[in-house]
Amino acid sequence: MSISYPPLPEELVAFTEGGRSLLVGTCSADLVPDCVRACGLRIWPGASHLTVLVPAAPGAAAVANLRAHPRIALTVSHIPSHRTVQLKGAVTALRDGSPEDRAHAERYRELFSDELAWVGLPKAIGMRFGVWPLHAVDVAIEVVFTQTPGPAAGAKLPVEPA
Amino acid sequence: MIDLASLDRCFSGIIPGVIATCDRDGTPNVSYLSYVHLIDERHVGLSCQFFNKTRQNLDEHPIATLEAYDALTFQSYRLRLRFVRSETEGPLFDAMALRIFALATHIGMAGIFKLRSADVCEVLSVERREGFLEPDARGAPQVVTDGPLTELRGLQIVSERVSRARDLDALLSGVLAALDEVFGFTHGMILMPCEEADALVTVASHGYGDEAIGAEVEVGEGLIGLVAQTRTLVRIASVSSELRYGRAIRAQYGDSPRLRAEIPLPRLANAESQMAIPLLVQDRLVGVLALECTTSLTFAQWHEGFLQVLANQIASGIDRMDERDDGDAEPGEPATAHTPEPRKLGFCYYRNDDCVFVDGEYLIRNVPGKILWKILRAYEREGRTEFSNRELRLDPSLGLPAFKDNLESRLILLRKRLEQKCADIRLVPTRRGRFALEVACGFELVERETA
Repeated sequence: MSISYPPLPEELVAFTEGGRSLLVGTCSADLVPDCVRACGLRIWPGASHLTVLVPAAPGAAAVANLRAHPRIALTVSHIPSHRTVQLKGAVTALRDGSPEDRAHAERYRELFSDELAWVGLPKAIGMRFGVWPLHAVDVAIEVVFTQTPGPAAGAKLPVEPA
Repeated sequence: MIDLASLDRCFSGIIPGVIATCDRDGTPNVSYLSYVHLIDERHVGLSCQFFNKTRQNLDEHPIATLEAYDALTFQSYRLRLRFVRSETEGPLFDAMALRIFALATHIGMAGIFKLRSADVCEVLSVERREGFLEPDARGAPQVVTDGPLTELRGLQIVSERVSRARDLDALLSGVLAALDEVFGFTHGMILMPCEEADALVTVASHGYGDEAIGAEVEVGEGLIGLVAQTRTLVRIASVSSELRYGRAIRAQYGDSPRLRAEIPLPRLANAESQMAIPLLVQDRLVGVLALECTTSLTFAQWHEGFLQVLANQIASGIDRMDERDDGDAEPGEPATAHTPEPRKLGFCYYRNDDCVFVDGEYLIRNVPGKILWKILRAYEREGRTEFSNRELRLDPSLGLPAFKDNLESRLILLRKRLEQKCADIRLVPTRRGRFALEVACGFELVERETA
């Protein structure tokens, strides 16, 4: 039974959509942290849970960490403006990606490749980002922080009570 | 282990690195890193501008993982790190702070946005992330790399230009042309100190057209001014990425009265790569070599060390040219009767700032302005057309310093400004330490106290 987190504000849910840069942080049972770039994000209806998609090969260490120690951090960033939030929570399920997950990840890759143009990467290079096979990680959101560079980075974001 | 130096493009700041840390309870944190500095083959420096969770976690539990991306190929690398110490002063801190200060001054945030600490980490392992990129159906990305042949050839060509130059003008323009020919550095300029204004003035340029000559930069302002002040090389791999990052931070401060206006970019409006290198003879600044390109990642890390060697040669060349060569001691010869053309230029000299205007347009100021006024006056009064460096040095009204007066560079600047703004008046070198005034039109001279 996961904690029922107050729903994310609608505006924040909308912010997480599209080709945002998605970074997953995990750590092993003996506290060795790891990070991996994710290839898709869905906020569930009710906005208290999410599913993040992690490519299998580069994400092998992250997935092993999550099996042993189901705590996760997810940073979502809009490349052109640097607006960034970090969500932290508990992993509730971990499974191999489905065909729907694959389709979602491939759509994400298109949008993400467009945002990579802001750092000068041609779309053809962004489209080489490997998204399959993948793992789907379900997460109960516990806390959200702003991480936009600046003095307020690290502050907890207020959310409406459920 | 993969050689860290081979990951230079990963540390360019174009695609920010990502760092994962965790606290003692095992709660992970993942965050962007704006700036990773390669210290040596086993250590990197992480910039800390704001005290944040990453730093707090490193203090609690000094193990981290850094993911870094090649800015050209997007290949990902994983570095396991162990936090060693935090530095708030010293050469590493100064080098990292300078780059941040350069950005902060540009976006009007000097004193607000600054480096708090340079966090030194030992690199425990480096691993190429297999499977991060799908194989490229068209084959591996074609990345042009530089190599020893380019370095040696570049050194040889630039050295030749320096040693063969017969005068300072040929030395400066030859060096800038060689840097373009060998390395493709399409835009470059050399600025020299103008002590009376605590500024640097552009005496040679390549790729910008004539308008760059005479442009001034205050010491301490912008990239070039900062390099002059700190006498340290600064390299920016992607101006647009850094500015976007800086402006995101600036936006977080709202309308704070502490913010100042952004200052315009030097020269190229669409510059992507910039590098400025101090030209030093011992501890004395003799100039700044500033290079720009419209493509990102033009200047690699190896360019830093290599261009430092070239900068030393250029600086020695400038110093050698500046050694006094005053020509004949006799005053200039009286002119033969001259027949001015009907066109008449109006020169005005403002005494309060030694500024000369021609036909209402700014021409030159400070010592070069005083030199111009002196020779135009001599021409008007006595019909003189021949002048020597020595008589300029002996004239106390010009205010040249007794030692290392940069007279040669001031004359180059004056000559080039005349070429741009009134080509009918020319200064032509005749033999070492002497030059002639050539006048192809009439002129009148007016002096005023202030504008």
